[in-house]
Amino acid sequence: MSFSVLAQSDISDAANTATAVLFYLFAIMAGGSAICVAVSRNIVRTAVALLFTLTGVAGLYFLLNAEFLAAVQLVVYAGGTLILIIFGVMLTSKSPFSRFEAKLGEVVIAMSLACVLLFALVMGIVRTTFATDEFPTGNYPIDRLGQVLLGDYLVPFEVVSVLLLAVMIGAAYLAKGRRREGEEGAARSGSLSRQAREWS
Amino acid sequence: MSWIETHIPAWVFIAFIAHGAILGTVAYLILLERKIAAWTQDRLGPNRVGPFGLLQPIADGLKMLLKEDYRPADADPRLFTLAPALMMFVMILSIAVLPWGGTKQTTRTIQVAGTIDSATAVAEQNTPFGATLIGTPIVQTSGEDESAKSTITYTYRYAFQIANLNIGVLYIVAILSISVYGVVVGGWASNNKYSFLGGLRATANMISYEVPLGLSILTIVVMYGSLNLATIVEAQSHYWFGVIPAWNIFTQPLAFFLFLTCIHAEANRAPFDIAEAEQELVGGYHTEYSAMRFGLFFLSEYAGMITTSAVCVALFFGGWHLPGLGGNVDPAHPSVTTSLVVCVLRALVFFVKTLIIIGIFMWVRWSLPRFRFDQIMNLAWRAMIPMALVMLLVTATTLYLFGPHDEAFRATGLITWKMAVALLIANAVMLVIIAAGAALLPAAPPTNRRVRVLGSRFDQAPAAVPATA
Amino acid sequence: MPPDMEDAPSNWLPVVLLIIIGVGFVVSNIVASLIIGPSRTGPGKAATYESGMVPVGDTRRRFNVRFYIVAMIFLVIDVDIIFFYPWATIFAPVVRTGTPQQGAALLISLLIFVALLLVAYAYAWGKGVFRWD
Repeated sequence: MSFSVLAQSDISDAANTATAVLFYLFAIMAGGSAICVAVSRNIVRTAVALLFTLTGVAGLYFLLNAEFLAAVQLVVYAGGTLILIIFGVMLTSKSPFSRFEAKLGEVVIAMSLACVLLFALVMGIVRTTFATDEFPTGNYPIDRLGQVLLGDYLVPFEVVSVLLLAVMIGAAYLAKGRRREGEEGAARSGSLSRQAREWS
Repeated sequence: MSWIETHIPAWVFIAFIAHGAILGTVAYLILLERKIAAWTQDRLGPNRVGPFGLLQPIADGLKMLLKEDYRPADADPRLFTLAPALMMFVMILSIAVLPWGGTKQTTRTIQVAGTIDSATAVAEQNTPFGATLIGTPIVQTSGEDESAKSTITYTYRYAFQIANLNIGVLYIVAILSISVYGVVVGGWASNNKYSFLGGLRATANMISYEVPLGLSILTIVVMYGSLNLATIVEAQSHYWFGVIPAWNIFTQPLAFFLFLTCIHAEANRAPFDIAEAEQELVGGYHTEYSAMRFGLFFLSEYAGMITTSAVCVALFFGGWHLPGLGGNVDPAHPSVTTSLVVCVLRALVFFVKTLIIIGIFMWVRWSLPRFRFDQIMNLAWRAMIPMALVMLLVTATTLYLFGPHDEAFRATGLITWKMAVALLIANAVMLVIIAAGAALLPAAPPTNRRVRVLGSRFDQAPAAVPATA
Repeated sequence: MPPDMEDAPSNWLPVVLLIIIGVGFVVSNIVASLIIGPSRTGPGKAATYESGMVPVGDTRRRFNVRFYIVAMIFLVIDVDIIFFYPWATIFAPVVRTGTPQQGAALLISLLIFVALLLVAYAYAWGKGVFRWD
């Protein structure tokens, strides 16, 4: 029998090697850019580094065959939340190029908190026995997720919609709540004032 | 040949060919765009480089490489390079799940020395990575102990596309939602006011139209209960009354128009090109870009157009389906074929259909004037999102009302002509309701304000303006 | 696509191949352009382009809040739509093979979901969120 390179016979070897390599690549991508988020002093670069952290985590989900979760991670976190963060960063800081110069006290507090968290995580990882034999492999079609979500978890599913209603009302209030119609009309007739000062 | 078939999976070839074909097409689409622009405006268009200007794309490509790749002093160096790279990378990645040619079935025979315990194990070992073994392999053993030979005949199938992912079209939606960053980061990193405004506008435009885009995809997904584009295409490859192909353009015309509008907006092309409105913003988010970094922005715009048009073809125009290209294995599954030629022909048909959709893009671009920002936002948020939501509900309700009574639908899951008529009527009723509702809803406030800039025609003496205004 | 193909485990190696192709294409193009192209600079050339005028002020300043509002509302609806996907994949199979009650239950669960979304949408509309001034 001929020697196979990418045939099913080597699926366990080749795919496992590829999975391991990809796992480290995505982990380094997520971890490395997370460090960039913490270290970078330019606030927009920080936000862009966060994009790579989120994408790296999505890649890890992908490797675990949790494809829907990976897609959600990309659509909601990378495609939605991060846009909001980037806009917020650009909007609130008057000059995003102004660099953060952290004071020594702040650095000490942050480092000690990080060390405590790291210690807790390492202890957690060391003390947990992971069931490596029962590692889930195989196929998880999205319709199975749908069956569970709309079967056993139907009530949480509907509660989510109530939560989103509250969020939407909150967002609408934040967006326009303070301004009443009269003021808006006044601002409008004031023509030049507001528009001229802000980019649109 | 057989060694290649077993050892190098088909998706490797498809990936390289599709990538190369899309890049080559992009180059010629730019020429076609310029030609169409010229014909629309009664000009000749590029005709100096080669016959009919056919070598123009090569000249353009060389120019991209040979010009100076300049970066302004004030720009953010890393993000300035990252933005176009990210945009192009995302577009290359997004072609993975396009269903080029249905399912290919292959039957192979191999000879193994000696007797074998498990024919399935041997067959699996000789199946290309990514293909699925069908049925049980047939074994024939000849000869005695020492000189025994086993002949194994087995059949496997693989999808004639790059990747067969469970999430299917959701993968494309997810990947395309990342492409926003190329625009907004590029605009910000340039440190140019035009670029920045262009980036902001493009972002608002793209995220707004992502919502109706997702909803109109869902309208199709709910009909077949699958996100897999190959499954959606196969479900469209049958006929009503033996002649009308069961394409979704006939069952969901409204969803098609919403989808088409959304992919125009996602591509940031006219009439949605507020991001690079030349008269206001010079070049928009790529004002400061030059040479290949600009080239990547440019290529990614067209590559994105190809991907989204291909998704449109798969969702609404039956993908590769055309009479004569059906499968020859199982009448219930017309996508399965044993012929490689048919698979390639299907890929070509798919590509030609995609080009026709792109033709609509170009036609629209050179025919319609640009919308204002508030018009674009009103169209998305006041019209298309509520419409798409109601359309999803109407489709689901129609399926619920007519599906259980339709024996053919219950048996196969295919949309029969009765259901198609029901869906079409539902579409028409919805259109009437929307037209009536649009008349009842309060009109959008006039936001085209006349700012009294000094010296402009609106800057008149206060006496000339009526006191009640 | 036959069921045996659709239920096959996802094969993500092609996506990895595309990632490699993509990174290779992008990096080689940018590097080639930087190497081949000329490189000449000067004070006027390095300035930000502002239609040929001397740049006025800084770009990094406040911009209109409406872009932020669009992103905020988009995020809420985006999360809503993600929940439709699992629902959409099971609705047609349940209508085909399940009892009418099961189909009705699914349809009603969607109706509640969309109705609440529409309530929120109407509130935002009334508040004037969708007025792009």
